[in-house]
Parts: sequence; structure tokens; C-alpha cells
Amino acid sequence: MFRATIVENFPLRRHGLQGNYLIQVQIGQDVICRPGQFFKFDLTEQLDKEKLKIVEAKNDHSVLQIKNLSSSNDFMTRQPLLARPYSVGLCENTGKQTPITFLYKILGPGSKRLSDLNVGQTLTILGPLGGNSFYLPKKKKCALMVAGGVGLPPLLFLSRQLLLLSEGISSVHLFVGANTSDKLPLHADFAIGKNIKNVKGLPAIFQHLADPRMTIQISTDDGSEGHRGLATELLEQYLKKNDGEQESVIYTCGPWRMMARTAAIAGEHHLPCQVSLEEMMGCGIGACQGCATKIKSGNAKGWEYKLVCRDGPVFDANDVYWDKE
Amino acid sequence: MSSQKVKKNVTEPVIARSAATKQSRSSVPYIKVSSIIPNIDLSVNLAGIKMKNPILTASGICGYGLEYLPYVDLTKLGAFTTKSITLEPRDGNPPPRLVETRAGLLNSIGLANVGLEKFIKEKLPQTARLKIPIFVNVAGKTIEEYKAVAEQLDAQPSIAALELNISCPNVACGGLEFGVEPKQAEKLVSEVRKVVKKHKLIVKLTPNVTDITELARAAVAGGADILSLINTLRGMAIDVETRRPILPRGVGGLSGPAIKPVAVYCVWRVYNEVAKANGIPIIGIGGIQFWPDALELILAGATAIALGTVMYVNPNAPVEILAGLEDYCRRHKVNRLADLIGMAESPRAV
Repeated sequence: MFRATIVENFPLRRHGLQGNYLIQVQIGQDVICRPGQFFKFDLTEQLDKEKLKIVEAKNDHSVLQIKNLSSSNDFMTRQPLLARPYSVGLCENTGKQTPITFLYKILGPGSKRLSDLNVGQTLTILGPLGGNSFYLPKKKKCALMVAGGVGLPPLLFLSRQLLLLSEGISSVHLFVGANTSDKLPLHADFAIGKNIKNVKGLPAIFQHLADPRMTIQISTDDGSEGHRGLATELLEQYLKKNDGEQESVIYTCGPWRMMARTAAIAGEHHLPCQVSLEEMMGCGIGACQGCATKIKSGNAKGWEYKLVCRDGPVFDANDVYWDKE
Repeated sequence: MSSQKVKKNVTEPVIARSAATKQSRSSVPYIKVSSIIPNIDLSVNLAGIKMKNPILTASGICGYGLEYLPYVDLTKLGAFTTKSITLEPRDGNPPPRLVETRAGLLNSIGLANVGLEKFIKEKLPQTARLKIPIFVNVAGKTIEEYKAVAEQLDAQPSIAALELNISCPNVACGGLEFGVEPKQAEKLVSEVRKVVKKHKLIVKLTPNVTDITELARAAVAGGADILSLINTLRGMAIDVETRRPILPRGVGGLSGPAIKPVAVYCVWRVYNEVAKANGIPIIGIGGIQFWPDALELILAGATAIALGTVMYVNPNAPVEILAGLEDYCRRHKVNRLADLIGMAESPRAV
């Protein structure tokens, strides 16, 4: 558990009803995150703690300072109740104070509250969580990524790590899908002007997108940006053009149907595919058994429930039962 | 002489309190201040089980204890309750298993657990390393299954008590049929009591009954040493787009702050109508978020209190609640927290 200080928190595009935001926090100590891992944000109204005047000593929860405790508890509510998981978009080990970047979208009271927080304010985050993350299989040189909406951050993190840290990676192709142009969780400069000249002006999470080994293709349902249709169609187009390329690996994170389609395409082309799943989570650390998902297994039944938080969130696409519902 | 001593104890905290305020302004850690004040005794005696403080985790919340270790120091708890253990391993219910509601959480986990054998072999030795009293929750389909599990667990010296789950709403045969019918409950408890010779026996009650005191009486008649209440309330959520209940079985168990008033009432009634006269301690459970919630349950009659859903939101809650309780005792000049058990005043109209 960390007390995180907000370094940056701004909308990626100023216009648009359901804004995508970027938040960067510092937790005052070094932390190592892998692509696919996530943090849980306590987005409860600060009201309770402020009125209780419980001041937590930074990063040491065993020491508490308490002033003027009130015994009236009518103001104490938690709304929303549960902490919200957000995938790490960027976390690079700098040695001292690792800044961690997340992208999020306003979907309810929790994310709304997050967007209202100012630089310098603090919030409690728990992580990094997730036992299994994205990795580059041996002998694979080309990474194909299919991202849907807010499924993008872990793939941005992965693509950056592959480009900067993995030897032998020749290209990364990112296919991003969204309903409409203004719902794309990309920086405005990327979505509008295709040629980015001044990379330094961009948030670090997007800077590597200008790497010559990197390509981005965008799809929107209404055609307001890029290809009109689905991101999985872009993947299919790519694979048609580059048929028989066995050095590729596919990564996907986004809506269930998109991931299911991506997994099917990967199967048709006999390419390995890693997926990052999502389930409603209680604890996020493998205790409550809330985020169970059916995964193929070598046991007598042929399957078992695995926990998205502890055993995932990244699974091999072949092990997932895609035909739910 | 003795009156002088009492007087001294009363005045000292007042002086120390003003000192505390001054010192905390200059950001001196709270813990140092507390050493000036005579220590508040937070320990409680739960039917002979000595707990250093009244806070434990509710069953099913912290798994087998191991999961939370990287994040929270569970050794600070007064006791620890494991997830429900059944004779055979259980997969649990199909997803989705959780729905967040207004001020609450609906769950339908379905008693997913590793089974008795694996629990004793692999999990318990590690849970025992917490070095606090370990309570193991037991569930079953039949009286025989309850007895089989209880008998084997009774032989485990690292356990302090067994908690009979006769109140899980999330499986077809999860004990709830024993938990709503007083005669059935008494029979089950007395049968299990026969094989539980070394450890204390806790019976966990459901609020999903007309009169919880009847079930409490039945459990006590069956031989329960301790009562724990309440388990989750039955609830349901429907997806309005698909018009289908969200949880796989439709029904789920509601927990979280929404159920706290129900818990306070149930504890208050069971304490005053059953537990007090029989000398049976109560573990109060239900929607505790902050220290006043914990205190409400203690005042209503709970000797210990168990934290559930709050652990998901704030794993540090036990420490914060303890600090709040300690401060309350200091402000109200109570030397022993245990002195507050059942000290709620009578309602005005009684």
C-alpha cells in the first residue's frame, strides 16, 4: 500500500463527453512493474478520513497521527466502496522515485473523483498486483497488439519495454480500436496529426510511438478516425499481407469480444496470443476468490477456476474459454 | 488509598492529551505520545481464548492469511478466521461472483476452497505462523460432513476454535438449511460438539431468519461456546440491459456498510436475550468500516469484532480501527476496552 502523490492528471483531449485522462503518480520509493500488472486505487470520498483527521505517516502505516477524533459517524461513507484496478501504462525504474503513469476513462463516480484530483494531492494505491504479465516468447521478433479502449495502457507499456529493452525485436504493430474518435485513449497529437515531430513535448507514455520500428493503426466504429470497423480487422489485414510470418506474437487487451476474435485469428494463423482478462475484483490479491475465470487445465475435469488478479491478468489465449454467454 | 489511585488515573490522561495535541502538531509519531499515557488495555477474553485486541478477520475475507501477508501485518490482529473449509475441494460458483452495490457488495463465491486435506497439509502450517489465535470456518452438506471436518480439525493443535458456517447463502447445500431452522441447528451443533473436544466451538448465524435469537438459543443449547453474527444478507442485482440477474445463482450475500445497522441490531438482541445470561461471548460482524462502527457492535454486546469487506478497500483498517478505539477509551477514561462490552444504554422507550 502506498500513499501516492499526483504529479500529473489531465485529459488527453479537451473535448469529448467521456474523456480519457492521464494520471502520473509518485510513491516515494522504487517499484518494479511488469506490463499487464495493475494498481488498485482507493477512490472513496476523502471526506471520511479528513473529518476523522487521521493523518497517515508517509508509507509507514504502522505509525498514525490522530487528532480530534470525532465520535459522530454519520458522515462516514464509502462511495464507491471498492478500490478500482488500473493497469500500469508506464513505470520505468529510475532508481529513486519511480513515477507511474496510468490512463483512465471517466465511467462512474470513482473515476470522476480521480479526474477531480489536483497535482500535489495524494491517494492510496495498492500494488503492483497481478502474478502473470505479458512476455516476449523466444524467437519472436514482431509484436502485434490489439487494444480496445482503455485496454491500451498495458500494451503501451509492453511496446515501450519491447522497443527499449528487448534485443532482436524488429517491429511492433499496434492496432487501437474505439467507438469514436474522441474516445480514443491516445494523445490528441497522435490521433489528429499523424506525423509527430516534437516527441519531447509528449507525455513519456507516448514517446516511443514515434520509434521507426513502431506503427499504429486506428479503427473506429463510425469511421471518425482511421479504419471504419474493428481493430481485429486491421490485424487480419496485416496478417493477410504478411502471410506465413511465424516470428510474430499477438497481444491483446480490451473488450471480451475483441479479445475472443483476436484469439481466434491467432489460432487460424498458428501464432501465440497473450490476453489480459478483466473480472470484477474484491481484494485484488487472491484472497476473496471473486475474480475467478474458467481456464483450461490438465486435471480430470479439463478446466479449473483461476483468479484474474493472482493467476493473471495475462493468460494464454488457448487456455481461455471464449464462448461464455 | 485506592480512591486516590483511581483519581490519579483519571486526571493523568487529560494532561497527557493536551501534550499529545501539542506534540502531534510538531509531527511527532503518535506511538511515542501513547507511551506517556497509561496504556489502554485492548485485550479481550473470548470464552477463554486470550486475544490481544478484539479485532479479527471475518471468514472468507483474507483467504488462508497468506495472501495478505505482503500488504498487511496480520500479526497485529487479535485473531484470524480462515475461509470456509469443506471435506472435498470446491471450485466455487461460475463468474461473475461479485457485484458492487450502493454501500455494499454482493458476492456469490460458493465456498471455493482447497478442501480439508490440502488445507491441513499445505495452508494451516503457514497460517499458524501468524502466531495469533486461528479460527477455522467449517462448512458442509450433511451433519456427517461437518463432523468429519470438525473431528480432523480438532486434532490440529495450531487452531484455537472452529467456526460452524450454518449461514452461507451461496450454495445449494451450504449449511443455510441448518441455519434457519432452530431444531436442525441445535441437532447439528450438538452432533459436532461431540467431536470437538479440544477447541472452542463458534456458531455463525444468519440474519436471514424471522428471529435470530431463536437460532442463537438453539446454538447455545447445542453446545456453542461462542456466537458469531451476522453472515451476509440475501440480495440480488439485475442487469437492466440484459434483464438477467447478474450473479450466476441470482441470489448473493450482501456485505459492506449497508448491513451494519442490521448487525448492530442482531448483536444487541442476541446479547441481551441469549448471550449475556448464558455467559456466551459474541463475535460481531457486519459492515464495519471505521472505529465507531466497531465500537457500536462492542457496545451492543460483541466481545470481539470481525472485519470483512473493509479489508478489500483498506487492508490497513485493523490498525486504524484499533487506534480509534484506543483514543476513544482515553477520551472517555476507560482503562479496559472490555469494560465497554454490552454497555449500550437502554432505548428511551423501554
